[in-house]
Amino acid sequence: MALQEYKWMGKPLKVKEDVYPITGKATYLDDIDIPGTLYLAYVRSPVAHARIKRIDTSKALAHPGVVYCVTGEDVKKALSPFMEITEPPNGRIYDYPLAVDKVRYFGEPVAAIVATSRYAAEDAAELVEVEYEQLGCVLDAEEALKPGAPLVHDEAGTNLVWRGVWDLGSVDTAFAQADRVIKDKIYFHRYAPIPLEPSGVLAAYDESQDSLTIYNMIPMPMFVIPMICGALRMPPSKVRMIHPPNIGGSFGGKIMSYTHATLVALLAKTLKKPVKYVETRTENIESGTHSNERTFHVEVAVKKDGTILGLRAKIYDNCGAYPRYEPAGAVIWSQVTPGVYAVKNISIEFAQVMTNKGPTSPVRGYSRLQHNFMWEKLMDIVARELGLDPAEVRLRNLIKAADMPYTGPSGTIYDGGDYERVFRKLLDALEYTKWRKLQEEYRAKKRYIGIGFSAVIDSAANNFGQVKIINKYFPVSGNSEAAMVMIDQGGQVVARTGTSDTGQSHATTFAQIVAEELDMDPSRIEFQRGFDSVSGVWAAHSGAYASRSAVLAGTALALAARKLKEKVVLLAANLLKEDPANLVVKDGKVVSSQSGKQISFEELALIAWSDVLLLPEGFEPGLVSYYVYKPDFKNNLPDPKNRINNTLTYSYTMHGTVVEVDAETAQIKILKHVAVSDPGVMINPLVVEGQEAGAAIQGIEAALLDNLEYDDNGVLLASNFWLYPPITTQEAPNLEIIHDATRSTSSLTGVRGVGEGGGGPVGSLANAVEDALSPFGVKIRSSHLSSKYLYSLLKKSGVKA
Amino acid sequence: MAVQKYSKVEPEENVRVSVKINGRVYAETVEARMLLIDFIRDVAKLKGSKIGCDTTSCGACTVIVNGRSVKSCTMFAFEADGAEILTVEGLSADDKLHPLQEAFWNNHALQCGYCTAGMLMSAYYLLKKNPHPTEEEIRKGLAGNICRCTGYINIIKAVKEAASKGGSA
Repeated sequence: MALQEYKWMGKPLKVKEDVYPITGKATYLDDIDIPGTLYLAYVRSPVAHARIKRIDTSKALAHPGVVYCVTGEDVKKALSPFMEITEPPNGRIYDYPLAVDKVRYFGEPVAAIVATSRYAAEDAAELVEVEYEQLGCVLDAEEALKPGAPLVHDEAGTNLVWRGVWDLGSVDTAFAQADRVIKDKIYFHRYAPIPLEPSGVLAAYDESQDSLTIYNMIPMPMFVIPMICGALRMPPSKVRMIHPPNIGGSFGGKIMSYTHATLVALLAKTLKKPVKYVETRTENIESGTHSNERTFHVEVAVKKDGTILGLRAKIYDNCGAYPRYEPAGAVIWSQVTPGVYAVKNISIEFAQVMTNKGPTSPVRGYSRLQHNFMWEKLMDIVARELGLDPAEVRLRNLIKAADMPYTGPSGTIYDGGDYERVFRKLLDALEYTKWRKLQEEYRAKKRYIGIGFSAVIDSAANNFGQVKIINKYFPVSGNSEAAMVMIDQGGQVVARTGTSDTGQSHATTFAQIVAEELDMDPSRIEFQRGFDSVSGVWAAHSGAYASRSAVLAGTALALAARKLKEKVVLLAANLLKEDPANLVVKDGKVVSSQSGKQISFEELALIAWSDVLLLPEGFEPGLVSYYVYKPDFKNNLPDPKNRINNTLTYSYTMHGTVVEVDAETAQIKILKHVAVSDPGVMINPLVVEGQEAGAAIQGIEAALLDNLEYDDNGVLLASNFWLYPPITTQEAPNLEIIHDATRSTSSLTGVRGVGEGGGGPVGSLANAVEDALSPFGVKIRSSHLSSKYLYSLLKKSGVKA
Repeated sequence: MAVQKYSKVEPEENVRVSVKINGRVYAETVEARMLLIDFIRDVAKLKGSKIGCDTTSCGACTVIVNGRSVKSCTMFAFEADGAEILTVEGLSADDKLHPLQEAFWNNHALQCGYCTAGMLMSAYYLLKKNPHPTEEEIRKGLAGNICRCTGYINIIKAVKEAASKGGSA
C-alpha cells in the first residue's frame, strides 16, 4: 500500500526535548531531592540456592546513620505476596521484594537497610550477618524438569511454570511429503538490557491523606499498580505514580522494578519519611533483569529446492527464579510464529521453566528475538544441508506481498509490506555477489570471510492479552492507551498521553501527530512529558513498552485532536455565524473558506474557558478532549489451538553482515553491516533511524559481548562493567540503514511500532561466522559468539587454519 | 591540585573542600571518602552529571578538572580541593549553546540523554587537544563513555560537525 502524504508527519524535525540533556537540565529520578530523604541499600545473597538460617542485623542497626532494617520475615508480615499470572501449581509460589525462608538466585535481596545517607546504608548492609544452609541448585531448564531436580519453589512442587502446545496446520502430512527431514538443536543465551540509568524509586508518604507518592521509572506504571497495591494492601486511589520527565533508557528491564517500588513504598509508609533507592550497576546486571534463555529442539521438513514444509519444535525457556511478568514470554513469541516465512504447518511444544538464575523479563525484542533467531538459524541449516545458497532458501520461503495482509498459522495478521523486495534490496546494498566472489579469493589466502542474513519481525502494540493462552482468568488484557489534547486558557495547544518515553522522543513525534490533525506547526504544540496518575491521563495498559507508543498513543492523540477540532469548529461556527462545513482549522485559527472571516485559538480559548456566558447553549465549557483508544481485533481470545490475534503492527528488518574471522584467534571483525527495514509511515525519520541504529548495535553487542554466564554453583561470573563490558565506540561498527516503507494496513496513521527491532544482527552474525568458518566444518548453534565458544568449535573441527 | 595537603586521611574524617565549578565557588565540609561526583551532584546541586556505574567504566560523570577530563567518580572530592571544574551546565555561555551542544542537537546524538553530559565533556576535551580529529580519533576519544541508545553513530557525526564548525572553542 502506498504511503500517505502527510504535511507534518514524516519530517526529520529536530528533536526539541534533546535540549534538556545537552544543557544538563533534564530531570531523572535520582535528580529529585526531597529534604529528609532516607536511603535504602540491600543485603544480597552470595549464593544461588540456600535456606536462610539466621539473619543478625544488630551490628548494622548500631551503625551511625542507620534508621531501620527489614528482612524477609518482616516483609512477609507487612505485605501480601505479589500476584502470580499462572494458575496453580506454579501460581502457588510466594514472591516478595525480599527473600523469605530461602534464597533462589545469586544476588537476591535478603534484607534492606535504611539510613540517612547512601554511604551509611551501604556500609551498614555489609554488617548484616546472614547464615545460609546451601542447597543444590539447578541452572538448566531441561535439567530442572527431571525427576529429583532441586525445587526452586517448594510450594509449587514443580519447576515448570507453564507448558503449551501449538499444533497448527497439517504437520504430519508435511513431514510425510518432505524430501528431507533435518534435526538440530539451537540455543539462545541470556543477557541483560542495561539501560545507562539504573532502576530506582523514591516514595513519600502523606499522613494527612494516608497516601503514597511513588516516583518511579516503571514503563508500565498502571499495569503494575495491581502488583504494588495488592502487596501493600492499599487501594489504587491512595497510590500516586509519577515519572520524572526523563527516564534514562529501559529496553524492557525497568518493568521489574515494581519489587523495589513496593518495598520502598512500604518503608516510606512505615517510617513516615521519603525513602530512595537507586540500583548500583552491579545490582542492575546481577538481578535488574535478564532476557530469556531458550533452547530449541527442531525438526524441519524440506523439499529439495529448500521449501520448508513444516516445523516440529520442543522449546525450553529458562526464566530464572521468579516468573513475575514472565509467563508472558512463553506465549508472546506466538505473535510471530512463522517469522517472516510462509510456513503453515508448525507444531510447537513450549515449556517455561524456573531455575536458580536471575529473574527474566521483557528485553528489547521480547520473546520474539529468540524465536526469530531460531528461524534464521534454520534457514542456514537447511541451505547448508541441501547445498543451496542461504539467500535462495530465504527467497523461496518468504511470505509473498500478494498474500498481505497475511494471516499466520497462529492467527496473527501481518499488516503488509513486501518481504521479498526488502530482502532483494538487502542483497544489493550488501553487494552480496561481490562478497561471495571475494570469499573464494580470500580463502585461497587462508583468510575467512563470511556472509550472514537474518530477519526480525516485531509484533508491536502487542497485547498482554496473549497471556489468556496461559490463564484465561487473568484479568489483564487489551491494548488501551489514553490521550488528552486541549487548547488551554492562553490558546496554547497542549497534549498528554499515558505513555512516557525512555528515550523515544515523544514530545517531538507526538506533537507531529497532533500537528497533522490540527494543521499547525508542531513547534507550537506543547507535549507534556512525564507521567502522573493523579493529574495526567492514563489507561490501565499505558506505557512505553512493546513498541506501542507510536501506534496506540499516536492513534489516541490523533483521535483526541479530531474530537477537539470538532469542538473548535462548532464554537467558531457559532461565534462567526458560519456554516461549520465552510470552516477550516489551520495554523492555530479557524477560517471561513466562504467569507474569509476568522477566529484564533486564543480568542476561542478565552471564551470557551473564561467568558463562558458567551458560549452557545449546551456547549461544555473548555476546549479539551480525551480519547482512550483500543484497537478492535477479530479473534482476540485464544481458540483451543492457542490461535489468537491481538497485536496490531509488524515492522520487520532484514540484516546482512559480512565478517572476517581469524581462524587462529577466533576474533571476529565486522566488515559490513546493512539493515533494510519497513517501519511503516515514519512520524519522524530521524527518530526512527535512531531507534533502528540503537537496536542493531545492541544486537551486535548481544552476539559478540554480552553473556550472563553462571558457574556450576549458580554464581554469576559477570556482574559489572569490567566483567560484562557493554559495546563502546571501539567495537560498534558503522551501519547502513535503508528504508522500504509501506503503510501499515492495521494502524490508523499507517505507522508500525519500531522501538524494538530486537536482536536482528544476532542471527546475521551467527550465520556469517558459520559461513566464514565453513571450511572447518564449524556449526554455530548458539547466539553468543564468544572467542571461547568459537575456539572450542575450531579445535574440535581438527582442521588446521 | 591540593592533594598534598593531606598526608593521611581517614575515610570518614571530615575535610574542608572548596572547588570552583563553572566559575562559582562551592565550599563544604564533607567526609574524605566522598566522591567528586557526589560533591558535584549533592553539595553543589548540579545534577547534569550522571552516575551510570560503580566501576568508573561508563563515563556519565565525566567533567573537566583543571583542564583535563576526569570521570568524577574516580576521584575523591577532597582531591579536587582548589580545582577549577567545568560541568555540562557550564558549557553554554550567556544562553548560547556551545558548538558541541548545537551539533548534538542537530544530529539527534542522544535518545535517553543519560550519557550526554559525560559524552559532551569527553568530546570537549578531545576537541581541545585535537581540534580536527579523524573518525578513528573521535572513537578513541569517546571510548570511555558508554551510550546504550544510539549505537554511537549520531554522536560521532555530531563531534565531526562540531569540529568542522570550530567546536574546540
